[in-house]
Parts: sequence; structure tokens; C-alpha cells
Amino acid sequence: MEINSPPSNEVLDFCNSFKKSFKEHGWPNSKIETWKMTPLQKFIKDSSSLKHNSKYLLSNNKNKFIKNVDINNLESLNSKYFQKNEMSRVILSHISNAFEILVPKNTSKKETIDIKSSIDAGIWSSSLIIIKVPENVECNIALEFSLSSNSLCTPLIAIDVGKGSNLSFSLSVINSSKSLNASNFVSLIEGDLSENSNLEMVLTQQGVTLSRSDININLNQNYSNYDLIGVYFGREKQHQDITTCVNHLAENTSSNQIIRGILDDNSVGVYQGGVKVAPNAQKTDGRQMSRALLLSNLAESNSKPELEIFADDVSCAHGATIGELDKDQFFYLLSRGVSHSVARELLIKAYLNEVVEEIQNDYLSDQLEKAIDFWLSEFKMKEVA
Amino acid sequence: MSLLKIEDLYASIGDEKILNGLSLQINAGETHAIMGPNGSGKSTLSYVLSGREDYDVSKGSVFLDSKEILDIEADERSRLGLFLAFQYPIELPGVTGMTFLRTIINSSRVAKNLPELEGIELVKLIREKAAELEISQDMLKRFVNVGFSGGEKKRFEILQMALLDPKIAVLDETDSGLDVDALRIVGKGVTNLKSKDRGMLVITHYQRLLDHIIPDFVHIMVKGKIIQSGGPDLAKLVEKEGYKSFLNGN
Amino acid sequence: MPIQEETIEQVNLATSKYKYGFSTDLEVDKAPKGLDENIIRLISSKKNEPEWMLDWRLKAFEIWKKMKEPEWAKVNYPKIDYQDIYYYSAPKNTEKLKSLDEVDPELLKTYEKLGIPLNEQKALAGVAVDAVFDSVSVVTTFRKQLEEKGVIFCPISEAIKTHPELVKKYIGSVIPRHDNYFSALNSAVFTDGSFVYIPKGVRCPMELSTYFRINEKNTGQFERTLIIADDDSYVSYLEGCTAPQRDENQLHAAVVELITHDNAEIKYSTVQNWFPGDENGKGGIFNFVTKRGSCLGKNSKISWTQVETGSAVTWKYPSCILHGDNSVGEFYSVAITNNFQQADTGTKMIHLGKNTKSTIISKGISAGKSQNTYRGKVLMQPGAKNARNFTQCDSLLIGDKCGAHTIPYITSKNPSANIEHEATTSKISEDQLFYCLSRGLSEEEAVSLIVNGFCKEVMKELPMEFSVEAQKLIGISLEGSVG
Repeated sequence: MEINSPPSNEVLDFCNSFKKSFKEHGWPNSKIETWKMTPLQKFIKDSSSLKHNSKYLLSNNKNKFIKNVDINNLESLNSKYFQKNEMSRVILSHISNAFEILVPKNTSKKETIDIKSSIDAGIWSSSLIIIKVPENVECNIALEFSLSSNSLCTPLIAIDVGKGSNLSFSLSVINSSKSLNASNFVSLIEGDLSENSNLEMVLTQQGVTLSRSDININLNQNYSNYDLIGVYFGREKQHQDITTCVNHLAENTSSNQIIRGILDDNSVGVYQGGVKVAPNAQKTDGRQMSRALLLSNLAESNSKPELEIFADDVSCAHGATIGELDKDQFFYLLSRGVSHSVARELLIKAYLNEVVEEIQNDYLSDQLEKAIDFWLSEFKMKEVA
Repeated sequence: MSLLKIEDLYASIGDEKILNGLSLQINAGETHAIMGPNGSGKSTLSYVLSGREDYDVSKGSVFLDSKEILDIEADERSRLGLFLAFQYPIELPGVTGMTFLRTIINSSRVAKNLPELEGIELVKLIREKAAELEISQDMLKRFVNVGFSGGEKKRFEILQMALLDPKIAVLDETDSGLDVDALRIVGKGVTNLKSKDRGMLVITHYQRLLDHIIPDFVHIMVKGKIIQSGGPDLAKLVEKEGYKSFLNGN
Repeated sequence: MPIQEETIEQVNLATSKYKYGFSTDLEVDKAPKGLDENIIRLISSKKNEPEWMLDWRLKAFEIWKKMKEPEWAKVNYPKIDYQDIYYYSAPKNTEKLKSLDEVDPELLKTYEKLGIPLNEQKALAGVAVDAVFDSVSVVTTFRKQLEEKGVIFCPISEAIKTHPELVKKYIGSVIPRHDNYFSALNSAVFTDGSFVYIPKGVRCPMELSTYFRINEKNTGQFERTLIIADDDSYVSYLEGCTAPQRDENQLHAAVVELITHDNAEIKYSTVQNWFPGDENGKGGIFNFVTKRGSCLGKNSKISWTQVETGSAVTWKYPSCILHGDNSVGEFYSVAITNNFQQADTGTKMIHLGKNTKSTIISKGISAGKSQNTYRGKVLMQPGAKNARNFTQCDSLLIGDKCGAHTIPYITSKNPSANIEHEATTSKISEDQLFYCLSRGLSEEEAVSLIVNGFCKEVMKELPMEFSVEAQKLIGISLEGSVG
């Protein structure tokens, strides 16, 4: 079933202030700290020639969960994050689709909602998606964006997870055909978590010219938890960016962000990860681990794992490594008679496999494996050629 | 005809000269032991034989089955029948034992023009050899060498050797990091792999491993060359008197 | 005219624990407040500088006027009025001193009180000292012994005249005038500092040391240090700083440039103990320093070790540019902030050559209401084949009113380069604290002991003479942080 929900007048009214701001300031420029490593103007040159259209397909029969945006729920767009982020004005002044995913209350069954969106050549798909998870439910949601050449996709996603609920959320960006140009993806995602709730997220990015996901998570109440597995693949002149900030705002909150990047050819990878601990967020446990693998002499990796801590009883750590395939591991495989190309593939798979193993939820690990397999099949074709 | 023939081998890493004219011949069916003090170049020898890139070989040659192998890459050497049991086996996070063994078995079979093994046949082969070395099924599901104990790592090395069935096996300090029980299992595993078609080179600092793997010949290596050769008794002499007398004699 | 200030006795009676908070009564020679071309001309003429130096300064001033004060650091401080500062202040009668006997006895007493005896007989064995008081170098010890080896160790104002070819060649070569706001300012108005040249093949026979002291009220200190280690040479250099306790803030904007040629090594150690302000955040030094070393030659090495306990606001990133193949850069840092102190400090390791290696060990301790930020950059350029970096930065929080922040920028443009970065933030362990208390230590003693343990990887890099002092300093800095 297709989700086609053009923004109502109320939504358009709400977006008016963003429209004004866009007219005045336009796209974010690279003088802004969080855009320094991802110069948008290099990738998005002429957005005005694109036609506005936004299509979503619900792959399973879950249409009862999709609603028009409730005017009361627009409140979540008033958050500091959306108000201050320079992309909000770009997205909200161009939306052509706006809907809510409403998980029903009091369901004991774990619901699964799969949504796909294809963005064809010549199209700019800008959309607003509000995901509401009520108290004490579990659900899986997957969003897949498949881009064509000369297309632009800018979703703004606001997620709210109620008390005691678990949301497993997968977002993947892929290429609709093998080699794309001028296919750009820029998203904004904010998640608000209530007491004892849990947001487990898998993000994969590959195949498009520019892909940036900017994620802001607020652990608003005690014992809320956020886990992120983010994997990006870059090749040719692609630019991959994952930017996150996890705000620990209450006691006993925890977060774990694991990022893996593989960069081939002339591609560039960026990870900007933030963990911020508010003065009252005692007993916070915040972790980040980012690793980037460079497969080519011309690839480039940038990491900025940041900690900002104002509470003392915390345990926070981050680690970051950048390098090529481990030489000792490579030699070990060769010494067992494994050829260079098989050893390389095995080690790349292993590098990715390690993060698949981290995921408890089968639905999410399937989503990640699917993305990895898709990339590996294209990678092998390249290696053979 | 000798299976492995090392002739006047010189090797260095950076500016440091490590092997200084080493020669050695191993015939089929023979087990040789090289003993030497720390820093004598024992591990360098094993790495140079197996084709690690960090070393410069300035002189000499190495023949495997009368084929010169110094210009051949490590994977090709392995497929020609050379096996190195590492002193410090490398961890491969993300690669399970089963995946690893399947990959190496089939690389070796393809080189020998044998069909690749899959499914039950493959599992049966691995299980059988693993059982002999007291390697559990659980260990094969784990990532290679990650979180393995010293004994588990060395047993896993010997398992690979059993599966690859090499012509020449080089065992580099296989006794290091082993307790008495693990030493017995590994010793038995290696002894079971002795055959009239295979040559073995056991590199060790201590004599204790040679109680479990009885060598036919013992060589003393000091400063990158062999300074004395003899029978198993020579190892006993080292045990009793240490390397001092050999060092002074040099 | 002698300036009326509180006497040493009064300071000792005062509540503060800053042991170097006294000021010295001296006759001084001061330029009027404020900054314009005339002041720069005056400084230059006071120093009898050659024309080229004055031109260089004036160009820097032109650059500075067009620049804006940086705002990206995580520090807040009242706007500095650059026209309300004295840019030149010198104790009278200190020029053209031939021996220690001619030094004003008040000055010698000051340095003795600071634990820096300038009298060569009483001096620490094997340490030559250049003492900089406000805007000028007052005395340099052990010059004869150093000259015998061909080592040049003198005030930079003197080097400009006696070794113009070296100064001309290297000044601004690592930190150009336009590098940043404070380096431009320093280039325009720097008054003194140390100059070191170690000739080819010489291992400097003793530790060299500069001791900086800001005494005058409303006086900025803008010293400039330039150290050149020629092929196959080695030098260990120590730097210490203090200032009197004053209610108003004082500005310190230094520039330090290091250059190593083939196989040379410079070890640069700092114990920075500028007045941090009182427990209410009043007064203290604004410490805005640019320090950078260039490993020009192959196999050369620059090692920075710093123990930062003082200053109200610190903005400082001693860095290494690793040009030469196989060159090595190191940064070991302890930064302690208490009360209302703010520190934004770290390093940059820029890898250009093959097989270059860098190590960063940073330990940040925040107490009271202070803010402590590590900011670092590791960059592997395309030519940095097989380069390595290891970074470990740990933060310790004492009390729930302070902040600890970590902002690393990590970029690699060469696949064979390897970067490893680790960071942790935690509070002081209750178990460790309890263990110490159960052995009869007071809480303050226990904290001092644990913090010293937390910093030991850095402390062991300090030369002996400094490490005892630094350990004590850590204890003093954290006083009042618990309970």
C-alpha cells in the first residue's frame, strides 16, 4: 500500500516560520562546526530543478498504523534540536509527504512495520515522519530509502518511545542501481525516550553520492537506554556522514554507539559522535566505539567522538581507530594457503560480522546482514572486474 | 632427496642482521629440532620460511621439494605444503573457527585439484580431527583465537596442521604458554602427525617439548646460524648445562 | 616609582593557599598602557632592535588588527580590553648586566622564594636558568659552561642582535604571525623570552630552564621562545611560571617554537602554576599560549610534557608537525582545574612523513566548579605511510559541580597509517578512597595520592627536579576540593 499524505494546511502553517528562515539562510554552510567535514554545497548544487514528490510503500498490511499528522504531535518539532538545526528549515519548507506511524496501545504482540521509499531521478523527496510508540509495547520498524541518480531525499523523523517500551528501528540508505551520481540523502532524526524505555537502532548507508544522518537522542527519564549500530560504506567519490548526539538527561541512563565504516576508492567518511551528560544524570553509562577501514590510498576518514560531561558519578568511554586490514591477520590467513583476495574478503566480512554479533534482536540483525550482503555482492563484482 | 633445504641463509629486519648463513636439510620422515637462546633468530627463521614480508633476505636459498620458494608468496608456499604453527597465533575477531577451517581446507584442496568439501563431509572431517586434539564443538563456534587459552590456541594450530596435511611442518615455540596437560595433548597430537612422507622442524628454547616430540636430529642455533648438530642427547646437554657452554665456544 | 602593593607578610596572612602570591617591590620602567604602532616602536627601540625586527613586528600588528579573538574554545571570560594593558614593564637597572652581583637583590630574593636560586653556587646541579621578570630576561646562569660546548642560551632580545641569521631564519617558521589571534599579538609585542641553539652533534650538558614571573599589575606577558636543535643534538628544557595574587586578570600570551633537524631531540617540560584566581573565581591569569614544534629532520623527536595547575583560563595546544621520516612526537599532559578555573588544552599531531609516530597521553582532573576540556587533533596526510598514533585521554571528576569534556578530531588520508584513540571519564573511585581512609589518610591526602597515581604515566616523563615539585603542586591545587 502506498502512503500518500500531502501535508495538511495546519502542517503547512506550522512550517511557515521554517520557510521564512530558509528563504533567508538557505542550505547550511560549512562554516558551521557540524558541517565543516561535510560541505553540502559540493554535492547539492541545484536543488531548484528537482520536482517535489515523496512516495512511501508499506510492504506488509499495516495500513491501520499509518495516520495523517495530528496537529498536537507537531509539538515535537518545537524541540531545541529541530529548532536549532540548520537542516530543519530546508526539510520543513519542502515537505510533500507527512505522516505518523502510530503503534496501537495495549498490544502484547510484537508489531513489525516495513516501509520502503524509492526516489526516482529528478525528484526531491522531503518528508515528515512522526513515530509514536505508546507505553509498554514492543515493535520493529524498518525504513529503507532507495535513491536514483539526480535525486535528493531529506526525511525528518521524530520518534517518541513511551514508558517501558522497546522500539527496534532500522534505517537504511541504498542505491537503486549500480553506479549513481548526484544522489543525495540528508536526514534529521530525533528520539525521545521515557522511563525504562529502549531504542535499539541500526543505520546503514551505502551507494549514494552523499549520505548524512544526523541523530539526536534524548534520554529524558531514568533507566532509558539507546543502542546504535551505524555502518557506512563508501566507494568512488562518495561521502558518508553519521553525526550523533546522545543527551543523558536523567539518572541511570545508558547508551552504546558502535560505528563501522569501510572506505574504498576516493570516498570520505565522517563520524561525529557526541555524548552529553547533564549535571543531574548521575550513574550514566555512555559508550562509543568507532572504527574505519581504509581500503584505498585515496580514501579519507574523519572521526570526532566527543564527550561533554557535567555529572561526576558516570562511566563514559569512547574509542576510535582508523587503519587498513590488520597485517598480522592477513599474514596468518596467507600462511594457511588462503589467497590474497579471499583473505581480504574474509577479513572485511569479519570486520562487519563483529557488529552483527552485537545485535540481540533478530529483526535488526537481519536488516544489517541484508545491507552488508548487498554491499559485498557489489564489492566482489568490483574486485573481479 | 631432501624435502626442505636451507642454504647459507642471511636475513635482516631493518638494520638488524638476524640470520647469518644458516644451512639445514630435512628429509622425508625426519624430525629436526632447533634449539637456541633468546634472540638467536629462531622465530625469524620460521617467519622467513613461511614468507612474512617484513624481512629482507640478502643471500641464500630455500628449497621445498627442490623448488626454490623465497620468491613465492606466503599463500602459495602453504599450498605447496609448508605449514607454520605460530608461536603467537593471531586473533581473528568476526571469523568463526568453522568458517576459517572451511576456507583453508578448500583453498588447499583446490590447489591439489581436489573437489571442495561442503556440508556433512566437511563437518565430519573437522570433528574427527578436533576430537583427537580434545577440541570442543563450542570452541569451533567461537572467533578464531579470540579469548582462547594458551593451550587452546596451540591445539587449534595443530588442528590446522592435521587438516592441511603439509609436507613440512615448522613448529615455532609450540610449548610456550602451555601447562603440563596441554603440553601432553599437543605433543601427542604432533607425534600422531609424524609420517614417513613428512618432515618436521621443531623450534624451541627448552628441552621439555622434546620429551613429547622426540627428534631425530638436534641443532643448536646461536646468532643466526647453526653451531652444533647432534642426536637427541644434545638436547639433554642443553637442559643440563644451559646455552652458556655453546655461547662461550662461539 | 615604587608601586604600592600588599607586602609578602600580608599575603602570607591572607586566606589564599597560592604560595607564590606575593609581589615584589621594585623600581620599574614602564611604557604607557595601550597598544598602537608607537608602543611597538618603543618596545623595539628599548631593545635596540635592528630595523628588520621592527618591520616584522609592525607587519604582525597589521595582521592582528584584522583578526578576531577566537571563540571556539570551551572557555568563558570577560572581554579583554587590549588598550588597558601595559605592554612593556621592566625592572630598572637590569640592562647590560655583566654578572649576578649587579642584579637587584630584591629580584634575587624573589627567585629564591620561588625556589629558583640564581646564584650559581647554590643552583640546582646541572640546570641553567634564564629568569624572565615581566617583560625582560633578568639573568641567565651558567652561560660560560654552555658556550664552551657551543650551546647558545640567552634572552631572545639578545639573540636578535648577536645571532640575527638564526633568529631571522627560524622565527615564525613554525608558528607564522597569522597563525592565530594570540600569535599575531605576541609577534607584534613580545618583549623577551629564551633563545636556544644546540649545534650539530652536541648533547646539551645540562637542563636548560626558563622561569617566568609576572609581577606588575595590569601587565601582559608576551614572551617568545625559540629552540633549535641541529643534527644529532639533544636538549631538555624546563619552563616554570608564577604570578602574584591580584584581583584583576592578567594576560599571558606566549609563543614557543621548536625545531629539530636530523636525529635531534627536544624534550620540553612545563610546570605551569600561574595564579589561578581565588576560590570565588576572582583574578587569575589568562593563559593563551601557542606552542608548536616542527620535526624537520628525519628520526627527530619532540616531546612535550606539561603539568597545568594554574591560570584562571588556559588555552593551549602544544603540537608537533612531523615532517621528517621516522620522526616522533609526544604529548604528555596533566591538567588540573579547581574552583572556577577553565582549561581548554590538548595537542595537534600532524603526520606528514613516512613511519612517523605520535603518542598522546592526557589526564584531566576537574574539581570545584571548574571546566576542563581536552581538545586534540590527529591528522595523517597522504604521505604518512605506516604512520602510527596512539591517544589515551582520561578525565577524572571530583565533585558534581564541575565539567570534563573531550573533543578529539581524528583524520586519516593514508590507509597504512594507524590511529588508535581511547578516552574515559569517571569519578574518583569510592573503593580506592575508602581503602586510603582506612589506612589513616585524611580525605585530602587520599585524593592527592589517588590523583597522583592517575597521572603517573605523565609524571614519570618529567625531569627529576620538576617531578617532586609537580607532585606537591597537584596536592595543593586540589585543596578544598573534597568534603
